[in-house]
Amino acid sequence: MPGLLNKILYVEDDIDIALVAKLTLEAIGGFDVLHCASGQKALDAFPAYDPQLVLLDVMMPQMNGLQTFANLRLMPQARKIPIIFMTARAQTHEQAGYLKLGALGVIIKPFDPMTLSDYIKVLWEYRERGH
Amino acid sequence: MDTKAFDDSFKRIKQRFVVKLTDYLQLFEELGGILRQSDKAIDNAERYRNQMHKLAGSAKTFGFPELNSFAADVERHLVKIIEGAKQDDVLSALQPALEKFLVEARTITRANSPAQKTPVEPATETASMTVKEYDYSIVVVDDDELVRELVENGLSQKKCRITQAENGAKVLQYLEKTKRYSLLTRPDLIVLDVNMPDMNGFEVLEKLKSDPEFQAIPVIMLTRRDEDETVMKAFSAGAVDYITKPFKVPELATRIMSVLKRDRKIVLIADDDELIADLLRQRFFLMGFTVLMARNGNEALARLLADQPHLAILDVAMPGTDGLTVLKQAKSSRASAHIPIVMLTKDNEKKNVLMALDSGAHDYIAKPFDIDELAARVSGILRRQKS
Repeated sequence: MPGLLNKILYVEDDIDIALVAKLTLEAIGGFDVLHCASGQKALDAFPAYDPQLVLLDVMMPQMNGLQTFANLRLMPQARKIPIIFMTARAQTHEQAGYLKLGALGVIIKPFDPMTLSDYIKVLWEYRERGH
Repeated sequence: MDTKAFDDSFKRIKQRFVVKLTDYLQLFEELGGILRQSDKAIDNAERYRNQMHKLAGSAKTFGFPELNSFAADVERHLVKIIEGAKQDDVLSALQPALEKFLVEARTITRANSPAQKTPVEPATETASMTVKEYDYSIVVVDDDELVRELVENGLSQKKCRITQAENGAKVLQYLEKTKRYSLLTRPDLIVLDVNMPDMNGFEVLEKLKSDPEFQAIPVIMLTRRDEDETVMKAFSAGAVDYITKPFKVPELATRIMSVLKRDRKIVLIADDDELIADLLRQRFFLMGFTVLMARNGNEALARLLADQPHLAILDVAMPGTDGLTVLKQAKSSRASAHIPIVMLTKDNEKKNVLMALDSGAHDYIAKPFDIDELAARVSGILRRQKS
């Protein structure tokens, strides 16, 4: 089981949000981040990049976050990849739904760029401790 | 943890958001206008809701928490309309919420509009580093908008002008256009993605290297990680460097700057006579130098120290601090004493010539001068420096 979190595959169609998130995840979190602007691109890039975690926006055109999630689960290399959803839909039953599907966590938009990395680290450590 | 690097880039991103906010503002002013025609407002509720949803999920991230909460309120009301709540009740509740949002959005766009925020500084003797808006012109070619924005962001502190191109055809078209203008419009460097649809990076690189007008422009390739074959191919096709994706922004900026400084010698030209300065700039650019400009003595000294040019050409007669004073100060500072300096004097200023040579100038040339002679002398000095 991989220890420290380093490589994150980040899927988001909104370029401005992606710009902030990628910058803060790199500068403040110290992560290695590959951004993909669509679910399809993420599926294509996954095998070569071989990330430890996928950060997945829910509302995207064409293939949305849930469809991307389902497709990742069908790929042998991505079957067990931890996934964190990002969504602006704050209804608690939806959040609970994502967690039931096996997501590691849900980040509610708007996120705070200064604490985004810490939040992801906390979720990651939680998982590492075997919960 | 590098908060500073993030803060610098974040300012630009925030500015970008404010620019986009003006579009949103226009859209929602329109909604305010049609609220009284309830049918029209209800028919379009879905569209407005989708846009408001974006703001409700992002404004706080860009540093505007109040706007975010007002946007969330408006979105809630719009959802109720879409879900078929009683029209009149919801529309009358929507109105004040929308008004709050509009007031806040107007305040933000007014306070942060770029035109007001950065007034053009008057060219004063003390305002150093304001000679040219940028030192390097860089073109970034990638089909991924985020990558282009990251490159632009990463270099925003480095006096670079970035031109973005989303595919190979666009960049070739852009370069072709520069042929009609002075050589100064050619980019100093191109960042080129390998994996692009239609025309890939190698095809673009091949075209560039086969055109005598462009083959001297250094190209850095963006490749995917662990593509050894691609890297080899890039170097053999004439790329000067490569960067693997995903890259870290500060690292990318460092690599680009090191190529820019490695590939070209830097010459500083300080002359308040614009005509002569321009002539020199053009000439030295053609000779393959990166040319830095200063319009007065203080600027010249600041750039000598900060930019470490390989050689400087100083006019003796400049307003404020004159060329001879700059020369003496440059030679007495350890950070700049090693930089060869050529002085431009007037024909009848024998005294100045002697003083210049005495103060450590490498050479002088009297105005009106023959530009070929000056160019030859400069090349000679740099050649001797090397050996």
